[in-house]
Amino acid sequence: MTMRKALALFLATCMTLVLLVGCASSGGSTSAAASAGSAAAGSGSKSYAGQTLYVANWQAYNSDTTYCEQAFEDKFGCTVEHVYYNSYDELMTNLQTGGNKTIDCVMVSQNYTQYFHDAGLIMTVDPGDIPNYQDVASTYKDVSPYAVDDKGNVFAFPWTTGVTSLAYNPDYVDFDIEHWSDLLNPKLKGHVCLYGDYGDGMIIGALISGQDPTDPSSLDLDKVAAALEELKPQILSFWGSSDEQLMTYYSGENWAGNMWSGPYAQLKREGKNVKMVHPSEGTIGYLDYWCVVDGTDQYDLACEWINWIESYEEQYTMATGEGTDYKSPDGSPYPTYAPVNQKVRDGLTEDQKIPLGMDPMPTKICMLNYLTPEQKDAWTDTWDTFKASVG
Amino acid sequence: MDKKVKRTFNPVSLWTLPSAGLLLCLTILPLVMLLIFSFMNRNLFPGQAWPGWTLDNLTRLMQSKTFWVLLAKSLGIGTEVTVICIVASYPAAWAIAKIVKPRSRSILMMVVILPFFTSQLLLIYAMMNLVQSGGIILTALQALGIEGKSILYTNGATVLILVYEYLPYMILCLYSSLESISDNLIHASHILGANRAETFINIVFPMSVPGLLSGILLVFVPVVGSFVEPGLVGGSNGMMVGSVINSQYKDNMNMGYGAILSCVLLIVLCLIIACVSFATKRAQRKIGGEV
Repeated sequence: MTMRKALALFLATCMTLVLLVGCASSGGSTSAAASAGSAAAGSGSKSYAGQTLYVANWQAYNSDTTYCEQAFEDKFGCTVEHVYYNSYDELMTNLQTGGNKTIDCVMVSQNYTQYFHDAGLIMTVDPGDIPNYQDVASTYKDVSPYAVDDKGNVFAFPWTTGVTSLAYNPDYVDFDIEHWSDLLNPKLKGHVCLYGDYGDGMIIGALISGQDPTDPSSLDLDKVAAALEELKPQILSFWGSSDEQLMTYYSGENWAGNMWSGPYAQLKREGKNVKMVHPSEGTIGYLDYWCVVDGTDQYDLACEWINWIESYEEQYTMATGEGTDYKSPDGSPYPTYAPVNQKVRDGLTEDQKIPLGMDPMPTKICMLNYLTPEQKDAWTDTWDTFKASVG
Repeated sequence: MDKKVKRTFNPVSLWTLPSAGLLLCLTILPLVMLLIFSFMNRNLFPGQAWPGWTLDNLTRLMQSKTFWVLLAKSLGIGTEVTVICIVASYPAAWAIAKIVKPRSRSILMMVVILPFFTSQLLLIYAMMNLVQSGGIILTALQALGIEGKSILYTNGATVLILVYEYLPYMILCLYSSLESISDNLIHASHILGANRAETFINIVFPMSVPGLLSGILLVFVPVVGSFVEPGLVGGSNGMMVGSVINSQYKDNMNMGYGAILSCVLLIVLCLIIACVSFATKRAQRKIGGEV
């Protein structure tokens, strides 16, 4: 009986401790005010030895490569800890609840930066604190409302851009695909793969129905739904990641659809037969930004990070996979992404531009704009109805 | 008249407080919050004021044909997967419990629980590689001169993956019940002239009902709510009700609407499980009687 009581006491104590730990507030705090006084030099002149910078991004999306993360750590003597997320909703919830760790810098796409800014999660930053910002191509600089508020304050700094454009496999497609409506060709039945995100899908539906998707308020959703309904028999599957879209391509089941620039570059690098076209009626574009989290206590280091990832050195390696002494741990080539640094863009050769989707350049890029809550509800309902094949 | 027994306070009962606290914090409180959020206007984050009450979520739910159609589809797939698991698990659990030698039993149990040692996503990708076009199975069939078509990106693939994932749960639950059936009862049944089918119906099945109900609970409920598997392998028609709920949190950032969808799914599942439990226990009493 004594042994039983001792065991019961031990178990009860453990459960009580678990309960208390689970209800405790998270460690780390982002409540300290940002010190806006000192500018980020960008040359590693200030030592950040012993300090840790927490950055949030998608896993394996460039910033955690050795030439980016390791190089930054060596340059500034600090530690960079990556916090990964699987959706922007998860990231937003993470920031709202203080996060499992303190997060100082986040990577957010253009269609979400406004939400984060309106929720007070990211702060405006003086561009003077990020000297390399002046080298960003003018097309991507100070874009309102993605990165600049109505007072002209900058809250998001561009990092990379790309397209989710039309791609097809000439080994299986014996005709030229030039427009989104070409996906309706009966020869492609059951072999079209689309990105499962509602934003891209609704833009494609809008373009097929001959509408302008960049103005959500003027969009006739019934026409978009009708266009998507025509597309349904063509669909093999919806992908949600690079792996998923590449898997269907490798197996020869995915003949056409939309594709991110990164996987397209990977297929080209591997010598696979793939063509990417930018339809004249418009192609889907994205612009990824880095932002400083409001209330961070590592403001200077966060600015150094953004300054570093916008630098010529980092952007050149990101675009070409070359020009660095830092090798990937498994020896595989680095994935490449289109840069925003104008000097890097000017110096790229044609062969380097093609896998990045920069040659030829798209004539018209459609970016998903800020949607009001009611518009988001309507868009997601339309898209879910399409995916669920509910008439 | 009998005197009422005076109840005295037992201090040992205080030791249940931690577990009761965990149950309250991790089960009851979240359910209550889910119900409250169902009538909330969109989102609530720490530090923000209450966004207001609304019936819009309920109105939207009632008008949403997509949700109800997908709910019916998900219940259908859940039933299909559960039935397949039951049919496949009974022979396996019986063999492990009654037929194989005790030394082999532990090895077979290890084989059954081996999938739990690895990531669920890895299992799914492994199965995808097996059944996709150009995968191992189709390549082997082609080598034998058999033409086949990949079932990947169909509802069949969704069912296959879900059966593969949840079969061990059913086997374990049935095994625990079947193992407790005394061999003497089976022997007595045969001596009294019952064949194997009659023995199963009158002896084995009634005594395995507790394990069966546990297995149904562990398989049916998560299968109905799954969204990862149908998203990866279900193809163009792979969407299930879990996908709609997921999209409200992941894409639409509408916590209130996602909560009411979750509540409705929860209520429907509870009703179904209650009906299944009632029907199964009734069958247990009617067929086998009390043992």
